[in-house]
Amino acid sequence: IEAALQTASMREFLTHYNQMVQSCFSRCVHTLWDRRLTDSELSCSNNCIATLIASQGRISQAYLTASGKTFARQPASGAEDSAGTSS
Amino acid sequence: SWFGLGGGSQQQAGRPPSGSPDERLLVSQQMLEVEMMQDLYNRVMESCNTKCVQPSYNDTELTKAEAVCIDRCVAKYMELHEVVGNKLQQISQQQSDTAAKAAAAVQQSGAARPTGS
Repeated sequence: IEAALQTASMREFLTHYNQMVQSCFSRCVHTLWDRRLTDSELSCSNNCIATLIASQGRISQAYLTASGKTFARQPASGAEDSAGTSS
Repeated sequence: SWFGLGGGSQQQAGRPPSGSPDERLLVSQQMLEVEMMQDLYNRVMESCNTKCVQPSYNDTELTKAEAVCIDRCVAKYMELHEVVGNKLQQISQQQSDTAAKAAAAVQQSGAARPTGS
């Protein structure tokens, strides 16, 4: 099971990696006069990568906060009904 | 291996699979690598088709400009693939360095009491 989890998390990481390359390519590479990346495209890509990673971190934090509110359940004390959302 | 998986495959070649957990992990990692390369290929096709091929289909052949554009596009994409890989490694290195320094600082200043919640 641990191997399956490891493979699954690896798959997720690599998929994000591919997605990141595609996003930064479409956003940064516009001129196709040469086979090599230009300096401006390189610096744009570096910024793109750092920005995407920062936004991923922020989004996951915000998601934790927001989903915590959305899916919060009342603490089970006595006969109170739980306020969980239906899924 | 492009994504750094399946590094031991050269040693394993020729031996019948024994089904040990390590081998199964290796096999699944190799399959994952193949899958990811397929994914990469699909994305290259999608990106370079969008960037280079004009949607005005007057002819059956690609124009010379389109063909050259595609060559360059693919080359640039693969270079970017490598750049992103190096940058990600660099960033994760920085993060682990920062985490190690923070952990060392915490240890030096005495064990921090866990805040109850």
